[in-house]
Amino acid sequence: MSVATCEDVARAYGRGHRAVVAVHGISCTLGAGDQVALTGPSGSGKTTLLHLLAGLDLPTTGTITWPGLGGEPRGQVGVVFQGPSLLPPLDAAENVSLPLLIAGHPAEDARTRAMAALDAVGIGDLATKLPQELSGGQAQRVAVARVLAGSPRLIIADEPTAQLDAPQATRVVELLMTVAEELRAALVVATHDTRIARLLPLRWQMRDGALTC
Amino acid sequence: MLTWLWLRGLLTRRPTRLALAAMGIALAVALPAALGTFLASAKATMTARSTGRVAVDWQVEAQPGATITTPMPGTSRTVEFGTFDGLSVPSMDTGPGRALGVTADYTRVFPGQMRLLAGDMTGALLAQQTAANLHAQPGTTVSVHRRGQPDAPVKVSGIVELPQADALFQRVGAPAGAQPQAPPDNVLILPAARWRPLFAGGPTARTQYHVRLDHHLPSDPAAAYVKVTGAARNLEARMAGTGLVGDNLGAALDAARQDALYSQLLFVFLGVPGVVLAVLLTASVARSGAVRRAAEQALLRARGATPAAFLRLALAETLLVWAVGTIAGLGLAALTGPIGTWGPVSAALGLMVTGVTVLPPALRPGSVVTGRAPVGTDRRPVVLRYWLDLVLVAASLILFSLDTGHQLVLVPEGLTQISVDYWAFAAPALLWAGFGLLIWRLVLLLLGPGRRLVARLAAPLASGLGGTVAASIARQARPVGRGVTTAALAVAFVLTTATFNATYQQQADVDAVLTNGADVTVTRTNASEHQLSAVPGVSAVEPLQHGFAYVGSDLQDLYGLRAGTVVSAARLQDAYFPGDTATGAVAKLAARPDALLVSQETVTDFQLKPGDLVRLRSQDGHIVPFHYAGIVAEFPTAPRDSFLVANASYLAKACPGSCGSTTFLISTDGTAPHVVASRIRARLGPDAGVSDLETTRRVVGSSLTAVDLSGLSAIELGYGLALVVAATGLPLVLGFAERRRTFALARVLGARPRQLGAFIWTEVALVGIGAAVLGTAAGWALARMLVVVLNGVFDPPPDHLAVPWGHLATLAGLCLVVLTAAGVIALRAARRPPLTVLRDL
Repeated sequence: MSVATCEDVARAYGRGHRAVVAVHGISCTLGAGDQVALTGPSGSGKTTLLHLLAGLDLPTTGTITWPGLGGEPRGQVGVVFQGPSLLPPLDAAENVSLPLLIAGHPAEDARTRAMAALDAVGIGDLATKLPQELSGGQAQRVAVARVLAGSPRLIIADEPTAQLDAPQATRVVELLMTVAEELRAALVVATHDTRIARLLPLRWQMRDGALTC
Repeated sequence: MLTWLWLRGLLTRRPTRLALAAMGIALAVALPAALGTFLASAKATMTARSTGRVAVDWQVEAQPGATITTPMPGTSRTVEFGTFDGLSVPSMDTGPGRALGVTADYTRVFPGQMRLLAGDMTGALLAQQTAANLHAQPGTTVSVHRRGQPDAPVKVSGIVELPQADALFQRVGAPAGAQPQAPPDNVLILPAARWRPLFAGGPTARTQYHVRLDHHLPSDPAAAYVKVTGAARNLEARMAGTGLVGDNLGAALDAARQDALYSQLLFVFLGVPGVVLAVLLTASVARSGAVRRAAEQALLRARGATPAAFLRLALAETLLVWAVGTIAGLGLAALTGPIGTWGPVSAALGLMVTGVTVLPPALRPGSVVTGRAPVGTDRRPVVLRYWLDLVLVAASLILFSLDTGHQLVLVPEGLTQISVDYWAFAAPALLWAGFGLLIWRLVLLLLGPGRRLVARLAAPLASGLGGTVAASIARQARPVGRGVTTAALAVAFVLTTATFNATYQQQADVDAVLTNGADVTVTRTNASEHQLSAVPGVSAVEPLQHGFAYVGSDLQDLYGLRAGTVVSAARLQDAYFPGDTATGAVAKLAARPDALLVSQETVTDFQLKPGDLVRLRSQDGHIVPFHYAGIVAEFPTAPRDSFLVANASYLAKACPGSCGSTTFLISTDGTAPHVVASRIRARLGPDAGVSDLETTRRVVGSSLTAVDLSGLSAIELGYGLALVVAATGLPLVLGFAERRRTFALARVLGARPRQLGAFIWTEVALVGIGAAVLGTAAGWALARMLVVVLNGVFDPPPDHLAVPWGHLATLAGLCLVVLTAAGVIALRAARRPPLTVLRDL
């Protein structure tokens, strides 16, 4: 069963003659376990498409459905952002447990799963560190742990390696792929880096808001 | 060019931050400007009212055997003083008295000296009390008994009241303690031409020059006092011993200058904390946005901005905030009256405040590192690490307990210099600072070791997110702590000011009630209780006997009361009866018909013990036995020194007709006392003495009361409420704005608005409860200290603080509205599409 399906999706910002069309005519299907590298130049619409797939934004025209998620993406999509995405006032463990608490898990259970996720990505010893005390790579690992702890069916990563050096970037993407495999989740990673893109089995190409699968 | 670009950028991209900083400066400028304007105007009013109340500025008396040849300043008239042994009409006579000889135009030059009650002023005039004693009216012929000379008939043309009889019959040149206790009962005023053949050349004849000075005096009572007393001494020096000056104007200004100094001290005591709070508030506004500012500055530095360029940008921002804030602040202050010289002074203060609050964060070039550190460390601030808060509070309490006299203003009689005990400022100032730091410590303790408590408090709002919410707030402990502290201090400021003002008003009312006795007081009347009860607006009438009696050789006022009804009708207070209550003291009178309440001084002088026999002698020689039952310190209409209180029924039996007359204390049914007074006056005619509480409050109040603190109260309380609004709302709104990214990320992670609300409302509740509890405690303690330190302002001193419930309710309501509004604004902002927020940041 497909996790997400786009049918002739377009997203424009603004109205009238000042409207900017970020993506248009996008039709694609993302199956369970798919691991996709989304590439394309800056401004080609990669981030917009990821937000649409994650259910964080709504299309201006066309439809997106999530048949594999029971029709509702909330709580079933894990997102790793390009920049710092950890909540500054919370330590690593609290950041990881937050989506679980939001979803209604008991505090103890959320804490246990958060610690397990941090251990799984190799930074269990940083559980009590605040985001400002972490390096860029460590912060991205916490973000991955947060995704892992939530056991999502769809993982969206928007340039997760943009601020990392090559070895760290590779480790983070491999980690995401491992996590996706373990969860049988679909994974979409947007990247400029062709070396990173080659790590993923599927590649989608964006250009001027249009998608080539 | 860079400076203009930067300023334009600030104005177009960061207008809110600039506007809020300017608002803080406006508050810091508006208060001193408004208070200063009020103070200057109050001082001018005090001087004007003091001089306006004086009927005769100077009474220059020729010394026995000497003739004054020195010309008098201003306008002067000669007044002759003589004495007589008595006055009589066919069926009545009086004791000795004084006869005055005045020029025909005397009342035109000195209109405040005599008030015509009946007849005209063309001939001989009788003082009201004298006319009442003789049952004389205009047209009555009275016989003047002169010592060693034949009686002289005088036809009365008018009855007058002498409102300033004390000053008129003063002993010129005698110190205050040697002045007559009361003016003479019997006074006859004659045209000078009629006076001379009757009294000139007599052994007691005196000549005075009554002088009206040019009243172009400095507006400050102290400066006016120095000028007037200096001129009086100069005249005495020029008269070379031939005359002495009775300086009534100087005496009036002497009282006013003390009040003026007190009003100045009120300005400092109540104004300085307000300005300091505005500074704290502005500093917290200027500090907000530090992360973004650091990033902007880091970018500028990366593009080659030099320290000189940073200095120019910082100065430009500072001057912009100062200019806007000062204009707004002075505009606000102008609503209270013309600002005058206080404008530049307040503007200079505003510049200083802007320099301290806005310049440093603008000047400190940020770096990416500072930009990445939005969350505070766990270390306590330096001042708290060394327990400075407790040291300050302890030092304040020690200083306060050492200064037991609390005599803030010393006005040595007759000296031109007034001294202020500036040490008295130390205790409240230290307490303010100590409480500020202590509140900060308590909030940090709550958010540190007490975090579990916050989580528990947050649980009802946050459901499963309680711990996360508490952790989030705890990591913001420093800014949240600063916010709660500023809000609590603002609440304390309003509470202190409102309590002080309410207590002041309470004491002014007590003073007026003590002086007037009731809402309306009627004397010198034959009207019955029933007749007075029938006047519209009267709810109760309480008769009170008043006369005089000797205790040993000391003539004291004697009051006879009706024990069954007096407590409520005369509004007796427990404080009037030291060591007892009003009900208890009156019960002692009710228990024994011949019971007597006396002053503490009399108890000490005569070594009285309860039950001791006290024999009083009435003015006509009756000896009346009483038994000492208790002490009375104050009583409606009674003087401040010794007096006696007994049962009216016993007095009526023991010395019928010789223990005084009846005064009626009248309570109104809610009708304004002056309205009821005028109705009674219309029914009883001009002979009756009718006074009301409202008029008395204006007349008896000190100059400070007469100026009315309501203007000061309005400024202080209005400012205080504005400060509370700013201090509770701004830190919250700015704090939430700083965390827009956090809320947006939480939304992305799936948080629903209700869950975001848990973060917001918990913090709102923390600020609200913290400000209410800690602010109320601090405000109450500060108000208590302030009232004690400023004891001299109160007359009589209060034995308990008045709680301004109405104002507190307004404050609570306002806080609730502001806190709710801050929460709603934050929640609405948090509901914006998270991606839009993240993209904008």
